[in-house]
Amino acid sequence: MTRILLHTCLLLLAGSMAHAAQPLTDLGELNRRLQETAGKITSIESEFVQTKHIDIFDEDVESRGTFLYCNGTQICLDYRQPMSYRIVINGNRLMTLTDGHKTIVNLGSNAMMNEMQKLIGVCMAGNLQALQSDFDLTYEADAQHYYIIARPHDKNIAAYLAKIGLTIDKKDMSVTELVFHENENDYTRYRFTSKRFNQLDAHDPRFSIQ
Amino acid sequence: MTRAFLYNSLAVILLAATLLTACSRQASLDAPVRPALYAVSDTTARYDITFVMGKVQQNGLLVTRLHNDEARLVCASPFGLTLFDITLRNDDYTLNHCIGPLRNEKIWTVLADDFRSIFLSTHGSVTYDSDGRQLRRTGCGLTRGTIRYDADNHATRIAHKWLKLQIEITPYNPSIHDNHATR
Repeated sequence: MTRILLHTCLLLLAGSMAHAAQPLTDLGELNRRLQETAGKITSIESEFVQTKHIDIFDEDVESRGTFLYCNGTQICLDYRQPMSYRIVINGNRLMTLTDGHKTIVNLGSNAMMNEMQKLIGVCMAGNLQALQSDFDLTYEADAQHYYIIARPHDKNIAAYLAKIGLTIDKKDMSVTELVFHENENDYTRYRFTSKRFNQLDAHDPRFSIQ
Repeated sequence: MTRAFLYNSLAVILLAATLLTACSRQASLDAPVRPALYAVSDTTARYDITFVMGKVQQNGLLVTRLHNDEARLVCASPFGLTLFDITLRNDDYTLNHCIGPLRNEKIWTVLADDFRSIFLSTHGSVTYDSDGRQLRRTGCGLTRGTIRYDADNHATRIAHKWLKLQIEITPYNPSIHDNHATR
């Protein structure tokens, strides 16, 4: 009986190890596939679930909505739950819209928001080269995904962001999960589903700031 | 010359006395204990929060929990960025994290007092305004303000007129948000 249990445990352990991510030493294929994809994808529309985890609290806060991205300069997070709320970044302007109340700010005057805009755009497009100037990147992979961890070496970014976790689906090289770790324990995770590529118009009214 | 000096000294003393009197709003420990508007407990509580400073409005969520006998308050923007994280005690506070634009000790002295009045039991009297809302006074001098609690919709509004700052806190109500979401 003990032997059967031991064998079962070993089999389970071996199974889990086979699916565990391994460090990626040869980045050639990843970079080649990212370059191919970057040239092809101009826009993304997807559903997302955002989970805010704060370690000392006993429950996570979940929000849902639609994510829109176009041409690297237009981003929209259109929240439906728990409340109707829209954040639009278009060029160097950011607009928040809630209950009909708009706030428009110039990103040029806000270094942190400017950095966030760059990060979201770069991460969603999987543009790792753009991250390399400000972050140290480590790579892992399993059969289905690439996992990239980006740790900032810029002090200004490190003040509010400990690391970024990026999960890329090997099938279509799209980002399936994005995690902003504010410190070792607290994070905000975005999971993207129902992705539609290159179907958005740059003049889509949801990108409009006025 | 001597007379001018005396008048000036008197004026300075009177001004100082006026300012000190104006700032002595801190209730003494003899004052009755005023219960918290939203008492912090050892389970997580969630609130919607709106800051309006001048023409700028920022919405977010506020989560609170009693942790190691201290009230922990974390406020995040709707897209998840932590705006501030504060540990509140009866007589002081620790700012664990705060975004750059909010990093101002004077502002935090004011906000900590406001949040203490709302989330912790404090000493002071409970009064009501002409609309029947519970009214608490906070701050002093240029930072003085009011905290009004509307029992009908459970909303609390902090107003600092001279700072042009208003904060509204409402307990999170999933049924209201579900209705919003399905509109």
